[in-house]
Amino acid sequence: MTGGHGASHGAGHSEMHGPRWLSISTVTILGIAAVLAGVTAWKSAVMQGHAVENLTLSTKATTDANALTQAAERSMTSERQLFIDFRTALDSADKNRSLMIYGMMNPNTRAAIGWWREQPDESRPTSPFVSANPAWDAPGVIIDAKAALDMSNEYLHLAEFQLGRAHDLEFLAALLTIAFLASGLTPLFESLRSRISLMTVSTAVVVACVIGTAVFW
Amino acid sequence: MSVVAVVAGGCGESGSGGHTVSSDAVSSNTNCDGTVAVMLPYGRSGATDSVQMNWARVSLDKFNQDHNTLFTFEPSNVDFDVKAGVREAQRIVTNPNVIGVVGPKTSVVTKAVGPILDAAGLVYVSPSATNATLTDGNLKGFYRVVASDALQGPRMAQFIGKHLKPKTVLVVEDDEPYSKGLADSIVETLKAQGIPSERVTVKLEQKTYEDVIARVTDSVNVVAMPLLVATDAQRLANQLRAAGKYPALIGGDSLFVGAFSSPGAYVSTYAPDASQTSEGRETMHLYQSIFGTFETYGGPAYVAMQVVLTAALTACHADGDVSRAAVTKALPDVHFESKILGSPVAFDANHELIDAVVHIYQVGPRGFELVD
Repeated sequence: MTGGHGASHGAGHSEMHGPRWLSISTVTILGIAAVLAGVTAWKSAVMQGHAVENLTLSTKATTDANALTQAAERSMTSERQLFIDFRTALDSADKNRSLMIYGMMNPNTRAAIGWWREQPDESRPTSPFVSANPAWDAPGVIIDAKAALDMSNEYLHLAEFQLGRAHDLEFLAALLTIAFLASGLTPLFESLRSRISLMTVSTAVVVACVIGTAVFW
Repeated sequence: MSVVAVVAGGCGESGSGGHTVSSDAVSSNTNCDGTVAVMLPYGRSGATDSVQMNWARVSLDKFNQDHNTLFTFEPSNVDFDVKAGVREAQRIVTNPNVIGVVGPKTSVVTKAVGPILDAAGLVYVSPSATNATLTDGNLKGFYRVVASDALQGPRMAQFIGKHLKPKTVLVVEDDEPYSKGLADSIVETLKAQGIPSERVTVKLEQKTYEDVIARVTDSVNVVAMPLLVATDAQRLANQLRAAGKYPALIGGDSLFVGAFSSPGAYVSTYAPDASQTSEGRETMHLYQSIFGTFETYGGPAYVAMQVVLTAALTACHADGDVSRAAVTKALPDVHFESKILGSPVAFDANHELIDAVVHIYQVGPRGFELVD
């Protein structure tokens, strides 16, 4: 009687836990899901860090660009005004005033005026601050400011891209909870068919997340 | 010319001329220098014609910024005056730092100074000299980044035939090679289309056009004005209107400037509307932020400067030599996408721009508007 009872008890026990391969598969899928969740969370954190870094660089580059642009605009306004005052002083033969104004100019402005004064009368432009004057440096300064602004935009776009990728990886990490749930529920069902269905769901989610992680890496 | 050259690669794919190089080949460690002479007008008291020089200057500074190079420029104030052109060419060639030339502006000056520049081993890339005979092989170092009159004249005549319903076309030309050459190709194409035409010659800066106005009768409903000077064309247009005559007006690329603003008139040019592309708009904004205004006419001057500098940079990358000979050798293989022209820049065996296009604009309330 005891052997028969033991035999029937053992057979009932194995029916409840299912075939061995199912158990091994469940554990394997759960393990992969756990590792994958950790990896995606780590990578997401790294990308968010890079995004913050690039946002900071973008802000700095924008500040630099604004400073350059404002400096260029101030310089252009100032040099024109000084030149007008200088010409006025020269035209009224006020030597002291013209020398004082000339002394207030920065070296670039003086160089621009120097080039302008050397031109023949018949072809001298009305102003020293023209494109033909190699000593007039305003175009280069404005172009530098524009380049700084372009750099700022590049950093910003990179930050946006990295932030987007980080969110995608976070989504994958959240999706993996379905795999955890499905695998965790597997032992609770007696029906082999139900267990296999849940394992299939769990496996599919893990595979999709592996592919997604590879794409968004 | 001191050079610190580090080859960073970036050569483009091969083209018909063999190895081609891209203007986008950026080397962060390259310090190449040299001087480009810019033989374009930059105005006098009361003059406004410095647009091409402005564009060339923007191009130079932008190129230096993008490529970390140290190229400079030598301005040479030459417009239509042949004597001034010859004098300036003789001055330029004696400067050992000059490695290439942007310009001249006009065909007549190009013909005069070409032999001088050729003898000095200099390349010269014009943004606006369109006479068809300039690329007949006599001027060895001449290149241009615009369509020749061999394309422009037929294009104008075809536009007349297709859109202006011509009865008889009066072609008004002046004595300059540009005007005569363009008039010849317009008349030839009109004849091929079976459209009757008449020709009349005026002088440069002529003050009154009574003889021309008298010839605009009921049967003449189109006046083609391939005149060199925009103010001459504007004066003629004004006098026609004042006489109560309203033929359709069409001029050549020399009228694609602010000085010509006869409402409804058509103008042909090789410069597309740069505002149609985001890169073109960027460059326009840059120009406006420096000079406060914007004129499209000088856009090819930007490209001409890019061409010379790209050749110089190639020479610098190749073996650190930015000499005239090295630039001359590199220039035929220059190839890059132009933000201003909206198409690739490359040259054929005759030094003409491959696939050059002529566009037709109309003077509207907001300036020139692209119509064809």
